[in-house]
Amino acid sequence: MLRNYLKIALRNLKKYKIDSFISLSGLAIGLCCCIILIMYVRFEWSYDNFHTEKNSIYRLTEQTVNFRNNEVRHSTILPYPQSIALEEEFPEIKSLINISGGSAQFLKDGKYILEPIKFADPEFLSEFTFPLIFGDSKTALSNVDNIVITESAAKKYFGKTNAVGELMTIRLRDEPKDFMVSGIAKDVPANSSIQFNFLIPFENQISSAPAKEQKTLRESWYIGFLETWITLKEDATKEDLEAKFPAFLERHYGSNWVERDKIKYGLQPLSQVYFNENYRSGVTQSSNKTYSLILGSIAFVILLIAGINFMSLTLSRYTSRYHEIGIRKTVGAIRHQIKFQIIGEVFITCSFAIILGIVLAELLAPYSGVLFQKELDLSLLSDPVLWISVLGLLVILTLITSFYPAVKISGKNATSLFSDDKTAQKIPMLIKGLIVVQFGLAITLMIGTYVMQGQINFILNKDLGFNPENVVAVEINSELQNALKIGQLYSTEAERIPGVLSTSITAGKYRDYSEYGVVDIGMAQMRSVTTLSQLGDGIPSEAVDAQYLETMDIELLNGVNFSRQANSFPSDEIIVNQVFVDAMGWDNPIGQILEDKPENQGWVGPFDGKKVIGVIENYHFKSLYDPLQPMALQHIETVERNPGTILIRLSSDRMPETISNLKSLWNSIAGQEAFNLSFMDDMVQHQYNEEIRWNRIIRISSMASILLACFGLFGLSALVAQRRIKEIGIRKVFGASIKNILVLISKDFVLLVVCGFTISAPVAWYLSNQWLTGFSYKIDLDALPFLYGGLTVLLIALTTVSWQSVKAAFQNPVENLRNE
Amino acid sequence: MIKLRNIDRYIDKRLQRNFILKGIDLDIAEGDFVSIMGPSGAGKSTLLNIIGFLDDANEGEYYFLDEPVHSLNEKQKSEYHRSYIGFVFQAYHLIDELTVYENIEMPLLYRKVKGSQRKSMVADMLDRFNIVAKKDLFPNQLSGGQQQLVGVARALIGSPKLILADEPTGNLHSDQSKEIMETFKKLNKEDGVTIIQVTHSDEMASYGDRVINLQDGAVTENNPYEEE
Repeated sequence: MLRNYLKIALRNLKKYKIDSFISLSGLAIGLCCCIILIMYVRFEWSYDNFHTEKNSIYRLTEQTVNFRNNEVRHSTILPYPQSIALEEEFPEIKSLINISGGSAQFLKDGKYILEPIKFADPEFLSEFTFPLIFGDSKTALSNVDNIVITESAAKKYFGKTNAVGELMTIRLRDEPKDFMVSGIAKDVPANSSIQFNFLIPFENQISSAPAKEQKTLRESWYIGFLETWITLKEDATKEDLEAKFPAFLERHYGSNWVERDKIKYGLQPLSQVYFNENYRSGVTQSSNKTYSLILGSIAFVILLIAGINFMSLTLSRYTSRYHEIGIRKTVGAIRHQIKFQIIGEVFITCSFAIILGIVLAELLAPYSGVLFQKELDLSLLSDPVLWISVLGLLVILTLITSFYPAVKISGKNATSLFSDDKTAQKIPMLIKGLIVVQFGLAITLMIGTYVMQGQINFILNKDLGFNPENVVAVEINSELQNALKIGQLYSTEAERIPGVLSTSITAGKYRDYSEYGVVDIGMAQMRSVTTLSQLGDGIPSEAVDAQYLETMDIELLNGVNFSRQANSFPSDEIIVNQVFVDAMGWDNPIGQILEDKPENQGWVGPFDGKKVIGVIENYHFKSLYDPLQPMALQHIETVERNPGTILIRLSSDRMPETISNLKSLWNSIAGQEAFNLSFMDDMVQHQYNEEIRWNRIIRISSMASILLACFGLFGLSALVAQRRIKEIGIRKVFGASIKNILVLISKDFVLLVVCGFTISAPVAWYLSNQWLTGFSYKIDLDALPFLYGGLTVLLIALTTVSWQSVKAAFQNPVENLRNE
Repeated sequence: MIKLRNIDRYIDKRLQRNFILKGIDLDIAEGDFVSIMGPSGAGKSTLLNIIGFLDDANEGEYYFLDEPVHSLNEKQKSEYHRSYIGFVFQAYHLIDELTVYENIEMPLLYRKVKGSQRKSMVADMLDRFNIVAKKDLFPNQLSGGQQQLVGVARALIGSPKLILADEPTGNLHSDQSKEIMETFKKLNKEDGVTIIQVTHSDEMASYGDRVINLQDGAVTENNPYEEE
């Protein structure tokens, strides 16, 4: 008996090749997409799970309120003395680990290579789970001259894994220093929010600074440059410790300060670090939880669409099998045997599709990195969650799909099955409903994709107030004694190269740490204890030269630029932006002199006595997540700062040649230093890497879901056309034109898509609005994405359906009628 | 064998009740070869379906082998159906996806006959109808007459006591029809199988030994030939 069912099932699959292929492969592809997407979502959610002590590790967070505009600021970048005080005053802290990020030059084959590094306290390796292959976790970082590197770094620098005992020559600042490799760590898992290849003891972060700055770094409560991580003793709780923070802050900052800035410290569990967007830092990676939720929902939607395909095709195939079931009844099949047959058949085809999907996912998983732009190790088949959910899916899909035909068909008596056979041409209501749901989902995704795309284009093309195109940044190691000389020589020489339009020396760093969600586009935060209360507690400032405005293409609104003649400028001139002027409430900014003397405190604010000589257009030196801030430009020679970057504006033609000329110029002037050149427009774009990456993932996934939906529509319209072939034949004999036939078949489906649109439009509108609220600068939601989304899907659907209708319409009616 | 008393079969349409069969009284003894005749729409097929348990009467009593069918449940009916009744249809009603062999075998599957026994029974049947060579063909590869032979073979495989044939020769030309009717006659005479057929043709009816005329859902003439 089972064999008989199996035979029938297989032969039916064979007979209805197109729609079996579609329902099977559709489900398989859908499942494959779903598995891969869910795996990725699980990967995102698995961040930092691998730490064995994950439940007792916390990151210290700081929250302040800008008293000027009540804007809440979140930070994890804290000053050094708080860590000393915390450790001394709270015995419940088991260990306290400071971590900071930076970069250093590593000597390899006679040349220095810039590598990102992490500074960390010795307990780092024993509290976090970053196992060492060679060396001792407890002592590896206890000597200041030690370095721990990862396996792959060891291979890169020494060509072998066991490099313990080897020396590495590193320049943290100006002077090279030898570090001894004391441990080789296993490569950091991709799902770790703390990433490193080179790890050196934290003390180096401070001791490598210039002597006069070291004291400030050690003692100032106002300069943040590190993240503090804490593990608690077993009997201590997070809440108890947090309750003691207000008193702690008052002791050290004084009550005035705490009250004004509403400073709060908090402890953030390790498990919340990755998804907390409020605390973006250059030390730890973070991501937006919303995106992984969106992706998870898309995965679910794709599965739903594939499931609906499978269901609607299977269901509509059953209506053409009334005849067979009728015969079975006349030869003595009873109701539950028919049910069993239907359920069994569905179960078999369904398992087949699911196995196919898993195989497909397993084959494609290694390539999924291309889509996600993250290397992740997806070990699918060993994952019990996969098997359990797939089993669940099999059962659910089988039950839902077979329940309706099983109950409905098995209940009919044989005679009505024979006579219904000829009337079962219309699509059943249930299937129509499913199609509406399917297209509703697809259109929602499509609209969402358009809105997202629009927002991202808006951000990428927004007028930033400066022109990042054709500007390159050449980095200078600002710790070099003669950095300013090198910079000036290089920039003068560079201007002679044809294709270079202008150059400018600035103190800021232009560096791309986009994998940490941070891109530095110049600017230093002068955290002043300013009395300029209108400006808040910090003013971003950049030390530049007179060519800065020209090179960056920033408009001077009012006043004058710095003088171009060397040594002819008074040291107290600044240029401010329009927001600065607005915040100060000046009607006449030019010539204003700032007063920045805090009461009762010994030191002078950085802007005290500065005179405003010019006002420039506001420009976005930070990403568009941040609103515009007041900022000031100072001349680099007046602030005794070394240059960090030479900005060069190039002409757009023959750029490769110009760049290679710039490189050879660099080698002749500063041969031992590595040549680091980056494009400003790339850096600007990289600020939104995370958004661009997610947009891509989401766009591709929604395309997949729409294609799947159309896949199903294709199968269904084929089925309908096939079933209405006699009707079409008769109509043609009696004079229907091909156009009439096309309309006849397509109009039902078009109506369903329109219904889907009506349902999805408000949903899409709500969701898009929700997403957009996260941006400071955003597009207005208008009808266009809705129009595009609806039309795209309608067009795709129409093409799909007409493929079948055209085929049916062009068939010779005589043939069709004879076949009946 | 069959006893129908005051059988009604109707369809309710809003305010009106359309009778397909009305007040049918009928007795058919074991070993009869009965032909039901009448114009289109007289209710011939409906009567046959009711007798064959494929359809239920709305009113009246039906005794099959003295068992009151009208009060049997589905399972019991199915039991009778399987062990006593074989069907032959005008449109053959073979399953397109199954071969000749598998079509004939199917009723045995529902009867849970063992594999080896099934094989010999099917082989027997193929032999009997001279279609051994065609056993691996699918229905659409056969002529109408051959398909109907398969249909008859399928009806007979469970060795039923009663064969119900709904215009078995309606789609066949005369030679094929004769072959089928000869087969029925032989079955009736040699194996004592009761046969009830619906037919339009006097020639086909003449193979039987009793004719029932139906008109507008009622029996108008019972056994017209016998009275001649």
